[in-house]
Amino acid sequence: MKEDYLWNKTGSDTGIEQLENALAQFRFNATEPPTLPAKILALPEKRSYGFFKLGLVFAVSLVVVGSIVWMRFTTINSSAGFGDSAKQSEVRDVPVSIPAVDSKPAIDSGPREKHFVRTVQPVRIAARPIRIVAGRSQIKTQPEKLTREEKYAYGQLMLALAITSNELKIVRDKINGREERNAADDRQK
Amino acid sequence: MTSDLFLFAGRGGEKSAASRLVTPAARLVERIRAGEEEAFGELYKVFAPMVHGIVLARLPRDEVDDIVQDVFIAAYKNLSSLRDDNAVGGWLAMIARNRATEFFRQARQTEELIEATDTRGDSRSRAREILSAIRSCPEAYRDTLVLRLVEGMTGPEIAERTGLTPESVRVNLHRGMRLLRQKLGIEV
Repeated sequence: MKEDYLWNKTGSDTGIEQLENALAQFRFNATEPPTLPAKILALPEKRSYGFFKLGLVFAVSLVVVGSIVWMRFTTINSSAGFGDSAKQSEVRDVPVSIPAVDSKPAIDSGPREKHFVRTVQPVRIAARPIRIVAGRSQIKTQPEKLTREEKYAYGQLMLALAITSNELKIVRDKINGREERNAADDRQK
Repeated sequence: MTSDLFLFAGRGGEKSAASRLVTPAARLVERIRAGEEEAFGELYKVFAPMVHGIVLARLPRDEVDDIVQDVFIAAYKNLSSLRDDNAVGGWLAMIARNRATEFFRQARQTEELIEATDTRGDSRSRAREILSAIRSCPEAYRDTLVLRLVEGMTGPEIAERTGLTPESVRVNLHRGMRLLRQKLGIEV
């Protein structure tokens, strides 16, 4: 019977009843159910800029490749027009008169038929204005020829480029976490 | 021959009907899924003592009520992860155990302090002594004893709410009771 009380509270068991009475103070007090959280609205999905970035990279690379090809093409054309005028040729048909082969005296038989021989003659092509691509040495010497205002502008541009490159370096270091490492090194020092 | 066939058909039909048996708790879950907030209140009334008991078997008393509320809110939020609506009791018990473990991990140092500072009256100290003896029992016995002695549930009720089989609840109750008596120095 004791086990029945433990199982389904039939009968009686003083020991278990005492335990129950002692522990009754910890029993669950019926409270109100918790306030339900507001229904979560489905947020619109974040737009993926992957394709946009890919397209941008493709466009930039296309522009770069195109400009390189264009530059090379123009350089080749300019060099071709520089000294190859002598090599250019034109095929012309030049009329020549061929003497008669037979040894018989020439009898005037009216106007002779004209024969044509295909010859190759050089054609002079008017030289195109030559575009010389400035070399490094020329770039270095270029500022000497600039006016005062141009020199000032050049200096300002160089300064802006230097600042920009520094900023870019800082950003790159931040991304790579170098700055933190450097700061830690400085602190150690 | 034909009668045998009908007999088998009848048995098969009974079996499939039994497998499709929907408990009242499962119906509550269905209603909650349909957006009835009242059903959630009913579910809370049915299962809150069980969750309270499981949490009380592990955590300081001051924290129990908050954790019980947290368990039900977490259950409501994650109701979509419940595969079998009939097993909602076991599922809630599992959430309660997980929350208690999580809390214990985060606030291990404060637990003993709360228990140690509360020293008022003999009956209270006796109750704390019994509760701490129950808490020192293995997990299977601990839950069953708290639900039986603190929450006042019967064995079948414990089985129904926790999703355990009645046999295992019976075994846990008897073995746990024996262990508790040993710990408290009560002679059977």
